[in-house]
Amino acid sequence: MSNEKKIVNRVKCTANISGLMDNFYKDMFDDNKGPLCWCVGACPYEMFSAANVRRFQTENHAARISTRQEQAMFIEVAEAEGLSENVCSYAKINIGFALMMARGEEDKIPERYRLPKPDMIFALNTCPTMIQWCDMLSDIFKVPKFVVDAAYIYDENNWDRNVEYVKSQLYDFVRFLEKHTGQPFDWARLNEIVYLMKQIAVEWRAARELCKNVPTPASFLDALIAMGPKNTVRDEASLAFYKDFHNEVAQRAKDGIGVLEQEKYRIMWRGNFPWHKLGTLSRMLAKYDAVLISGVYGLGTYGDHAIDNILPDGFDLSDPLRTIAAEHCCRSYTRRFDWKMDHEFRRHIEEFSIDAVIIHSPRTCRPWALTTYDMAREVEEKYKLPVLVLEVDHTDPNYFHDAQVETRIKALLETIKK
Amino acid sequence: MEQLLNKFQQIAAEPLKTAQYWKEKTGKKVVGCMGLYVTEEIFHAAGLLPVVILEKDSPILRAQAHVQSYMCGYIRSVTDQALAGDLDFIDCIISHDCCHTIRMTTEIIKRNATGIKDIQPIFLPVTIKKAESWTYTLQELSFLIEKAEKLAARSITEDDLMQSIQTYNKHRRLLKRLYQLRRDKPGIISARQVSNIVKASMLMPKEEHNAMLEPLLEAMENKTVEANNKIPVIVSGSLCETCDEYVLDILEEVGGVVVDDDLYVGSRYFATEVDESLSPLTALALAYVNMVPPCPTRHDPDNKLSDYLINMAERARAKGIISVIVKFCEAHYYSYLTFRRGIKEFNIPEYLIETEHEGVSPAQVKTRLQSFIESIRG
Amino acid sequence: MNKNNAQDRKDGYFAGIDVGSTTTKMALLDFEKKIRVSSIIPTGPIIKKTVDKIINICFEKNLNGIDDIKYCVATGYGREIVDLADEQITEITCHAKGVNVIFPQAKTIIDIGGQDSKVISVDDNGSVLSFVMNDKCAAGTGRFLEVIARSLELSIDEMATLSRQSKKRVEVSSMCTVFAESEVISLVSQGVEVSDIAAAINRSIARRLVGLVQRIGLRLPLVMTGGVAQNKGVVKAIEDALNIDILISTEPQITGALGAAHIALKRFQERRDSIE
Ligand SMILES: Nc1ncnc2c1ncn2[C@@H]1O[C@H](COP(=O)(O)OP(=O)(O)OP(=O)(O)O)[C@@H](O)[C@H]1O
Ligand code: SF4
Ligand code: SF4
Ligand SMILES: [Mg+2]
Repeated sequence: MSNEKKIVNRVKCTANISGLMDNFYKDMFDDNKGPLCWCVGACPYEMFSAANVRRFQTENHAARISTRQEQAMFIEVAEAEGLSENVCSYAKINIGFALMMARGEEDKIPERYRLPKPDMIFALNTCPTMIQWCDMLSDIFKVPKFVVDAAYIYDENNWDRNVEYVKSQLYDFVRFLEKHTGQPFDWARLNEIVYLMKQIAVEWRAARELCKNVPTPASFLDALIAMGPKNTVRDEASLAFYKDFHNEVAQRAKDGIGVLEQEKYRIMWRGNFPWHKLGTLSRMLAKYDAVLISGVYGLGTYGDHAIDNILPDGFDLSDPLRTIAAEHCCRSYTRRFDWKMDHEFRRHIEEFSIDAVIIHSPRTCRPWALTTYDMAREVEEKYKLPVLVLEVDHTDPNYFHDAQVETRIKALLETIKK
Repeated sequence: MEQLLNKFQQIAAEPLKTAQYWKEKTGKKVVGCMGLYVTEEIFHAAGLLPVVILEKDSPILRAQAHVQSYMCGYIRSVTDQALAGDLDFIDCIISHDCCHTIRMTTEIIKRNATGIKDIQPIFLPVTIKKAESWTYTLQELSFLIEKAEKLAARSITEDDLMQSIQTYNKHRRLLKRLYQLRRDKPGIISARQVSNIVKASMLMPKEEHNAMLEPLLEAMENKTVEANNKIPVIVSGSLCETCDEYVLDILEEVGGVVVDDDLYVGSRYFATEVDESLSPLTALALAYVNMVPPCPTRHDPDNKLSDYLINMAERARAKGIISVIVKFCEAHYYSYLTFRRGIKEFNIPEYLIETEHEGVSPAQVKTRLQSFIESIRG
Repeated sequence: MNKNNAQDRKDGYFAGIDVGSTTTKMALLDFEKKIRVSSIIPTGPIIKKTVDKIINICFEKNLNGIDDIKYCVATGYGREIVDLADEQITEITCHAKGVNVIFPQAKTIIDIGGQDSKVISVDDNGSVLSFVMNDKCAAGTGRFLEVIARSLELSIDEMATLSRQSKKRVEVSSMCTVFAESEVISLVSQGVEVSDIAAAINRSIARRLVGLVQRIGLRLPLVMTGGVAQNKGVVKAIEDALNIDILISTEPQITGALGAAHIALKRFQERRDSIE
């Protein structure tokens, strides 16, 4: 294998994301746009828009900080306050950030990350961390909070009951929003946005579908970068972006343009992503002509996994709250092991012509880490593919050692029989 | 009194043997309760023998291939026991999804521990004080009743349930009296002994346990303790995990005396009584959503750990609060921090000890606890 | 021992013995609170022998017999094994006391020994308000420095001196001894100057300590004790990281034993007062 730097030909229009995202974050400072809610975890953003409440996602914000390697300061503040180094590193970054804001130390925070203080906090229990994290934020800022619980679907026959469980809490949330904005909830706007999401999902899925091509016109990392507007912004401009994204991917597919000059190995990624090492990992893989094609993380929201939803294509336009509830019930977090093996591995491995699998076992995230050893064994046995369980972290730099990771990735690729 | 205490100690020393002994002696099927808040009364009412699955103080070997070292010791140990076949005698394990760690471990055990007869997950709402949570809880408990009926091959009547609730409530009241005696006469019983008593209760029929408790309490009523200058403290935490007794031993060895606790193998196990004036199922569901001790794994914003422990400390005239966290028990880390922020204004010394299955250096724990006691003494 | 004999009230000594994980320290005070003799020796595998040895060393120095010890306080992680001791007190309390004697104005103490590092917050009387300790791994301790020095083939002193000649900033990101060692080896193989690596290691220790300091809150002045307080490179790195000046006594390593001896004197007096 050669050592020279390989060119990674990324999807071009994703460069527009930072503009979209920056605008989104700029809006946070516009008081005319309603109160501000900090949302922990995946959240029903449609509802916030319909209530005229500004919101952003704390995980997303933490990931943004760590893609630029600027997380250490916030982690240190949180740990100094007494938060254990073993808790989710997203939470550490965000809680450190919140503590600095609450103490009036905003001037120490790089300007591009600054945000106004929240008027309320929201969390949805996809992972228990989020609830505790939400409680902490509400305690730090002394503002009201709303928590939605989502159940563990240990029995697929219980789908409906669980969707109803979430949906009834979402009704309460509507009342909560009305109370705190002093305005009636705009149901018509909610319908509009859910419809918008459906259109976005169509573009998204079509683009993702094309990644089954060899060579792949877009990588998993392109998709990870592109998911921002879909997961957090959700407005008309986002739809326009996904149309561009789909078009560009389609054009590349037509012209046979791949992400790498020579696509030798197609890799699947499972688990959340070490954002701070996005570039490093992409270069490391490219060096050996390997590309991440597909993955289970982040792409899910109204996206790849719609076929697993209780609703035929993920949407019930006549009942937006049911759509939202179902969307949140069908995440990986709430599902059984067998379900994950089938939907997260089999489908990706078979449809995307995968040569090897990297499973991320983050040191500070229980939901993504547990069962990964068993998953690795089953993939090896069932699909006869080489698997690497990478034990690093989604944002904490303490667990990632470039040289060590590269050795392991190289070893993985060497075992691919081609 | 010594004799009774020894008996409790023996029962607590070998949890699995104890459970097996009772299985043979009563001929009843055994239900293993994994995680917090499995409603034991339901299984008791069906004539089954519910026992709590505890952490075992032996090295983790087999589970290493399935569960990362950065997971709490409780689930690593339980997985290990399951893989070793130690839990095969249990007729059904009910695993309550009290955190994500347990959720996934249940799956791991199910896949890999081939000798396990039956392992059934349940989900109880995390946000406990909401209308939906109440209905959801009722549904889960009804499901447990069905499950118990199937296991026992008989039906459970309302009377059966009520009788079990009464037995359990009586048990809770006896344990509360034990704690009252300890508050009144600090040092009358060691923290380790109290832990043994509660642990034994988790492993044997409550009727039998009650029968042992009653004479013990009587003996304690009549006993006096010499005045001493030990520092009274309360201990809180240690979710699901049980191998922390050495912390209690050291604490009392270096001049502290535990006067009350909020431990899993402690008052958390019996703090919530079930209302006997309601229909039994309603009462059981209510007891869950209205649980008394604030729980790090549940969302119940009005029930603050700081208030709860400050009250406990005041009632027991304690001069310090020790929190014990099981390493990697994520929910507890947050709740500890919120607690610490919450008690700042009260000016009561507090200290955190983190425990690990593999054990932390006893010398270091001793230095920490001794320094803590020395600093209270001034 | 004739501890409560009122006649020889002015003769006799008060002993503090600090059996640390790495070194054992002993200090003897007289009634005037003057240090009569002190000693530091490595802690051997058999603690009893080490303790006997240090007592012998101290009494060779022209003192009367061991019987003249009126009260003895043992501290450090081997405190239980000192037969001579009348009382065992932790090194946290003893360092606080020792610092209070030398620097009564001190508010915060950093003690870095061979195996543990501790940050202690004290009140005006030298009583402990709160404290934090490193967890069981060696990150941020003397041991960590020794491991790294060994892989750089330097002595601790050489490493401290070299670190202050550093010209270029490099980072050793890991605080874990094992990982840091491999990072260091890979930096060496990349041809990075040893002085720059040594400075990076000191900064890494400082980061760890600053984390502990922040957990209990920095109050000034801050005093450093323990053997590593003699490592100028580490001290400088912590000063830079906290942006403060640190106070250090001439013999920081003896602080715990000194504090123990002072507590011994106080205990003796309390006891005598209560008898009379
Ligand atoms: N002159 C010096 N320069 C630099 N480092 C030194 C010097 N003298 C001692 N040390 C370091 O100090 C450490 C020992 O310190 P100390 O005697 O305070 O430890 P200890 O009390 O035995 O350990 P602990 O308190 O952790 O049980 C050793 O790691 C040694 O490398
Ligand atoms: S799922 Fe993992 S990364 Fe996300 S909040 Fe929970 S612990 Fe953190
Ligand atoms: S001890 Fe904590 S992490 Fe472990 S199973 Fe219990 S609640 Fe979960
Ligand atoms: Mg020492």
